[in-house]
Amino acid sequence: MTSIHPPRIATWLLRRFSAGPHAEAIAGDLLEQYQSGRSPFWYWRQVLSAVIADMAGSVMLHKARTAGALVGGWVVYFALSFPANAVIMSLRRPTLRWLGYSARPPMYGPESTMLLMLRIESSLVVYVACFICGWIVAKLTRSSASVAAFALSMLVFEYAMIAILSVTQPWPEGATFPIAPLFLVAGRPLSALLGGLLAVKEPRRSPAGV
Amino acid sequence: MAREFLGGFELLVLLALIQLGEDAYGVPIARAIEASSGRPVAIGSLYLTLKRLEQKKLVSSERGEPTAERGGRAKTYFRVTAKGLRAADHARRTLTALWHGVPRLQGEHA
Repeated sequence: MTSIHPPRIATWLLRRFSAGPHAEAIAGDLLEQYQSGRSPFWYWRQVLSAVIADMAGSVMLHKARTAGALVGGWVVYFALSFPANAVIMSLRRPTLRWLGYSARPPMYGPESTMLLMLRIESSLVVYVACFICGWIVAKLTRSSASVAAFALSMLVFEYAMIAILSVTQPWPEGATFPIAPLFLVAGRPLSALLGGLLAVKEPRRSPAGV
Repeated sequence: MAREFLGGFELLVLLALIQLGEDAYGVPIARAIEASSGRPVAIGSLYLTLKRLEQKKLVSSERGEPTAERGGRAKTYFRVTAKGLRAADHARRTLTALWHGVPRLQGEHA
């Protein structure tokens, strides 16, 4: 046996997200193959496909639980949007004052950097709300797969909304495509996923596990 | 009860299990399929298929002892059930009957 260790993050991902009845056997098989000379790239690819296959299998097997997670998650997300908006509005004025503005900067033009800062600030508040959503979904379903399905639905919804708005809304004169929101929006499903991960207990490993 | 059709990969897995006998766990099953099909096998897809075959009662599984070589993780051994053997035999007869009706493929040597 060689002393080569497989990529740690990949192993952690596998342990964290693979919860099926054969999760331990899959981890052992991948380690055995890795130590017989497979590359880290091979290991990463196998881990990702194993996690996706496990989650897809879990979602298909527990359709009612997944549907409940999606409905519950979106209800919580909608309910949290009100306090989140209130926090964003209450933070806006002090932030503008701190930045040296007496009024909201124009939407476009040289002061768009200030607007970006406001966007980042409001995004951080929304991330906290998404984190709480993910945490609640995970506590209710006790399943990483359900949280991942909820986060995926969030990702699809947010980008679909951006696509629809960018096609249907008229562009103000001089405006360029808002790149920043494209990146900031990705943080929402990631926050939900992170919240869910922290809420779901890590699967127990065998006593001899390393 | 209507007999279920086996998927292509399901049949490959069943045949590998029959071939390997008592020593059938993830790694040798994947290697046997890779050797005969010439295509890489994703362990995750393999276990998903094994789980499906277990649900159809075509395969049974048994947990082995944890070993240090595998980081303390146990192997899961798989075995074809009597129902699985019948399903594989039925698939063989179906495929053979269908192949008899296929004219010789172009470029194939006699």
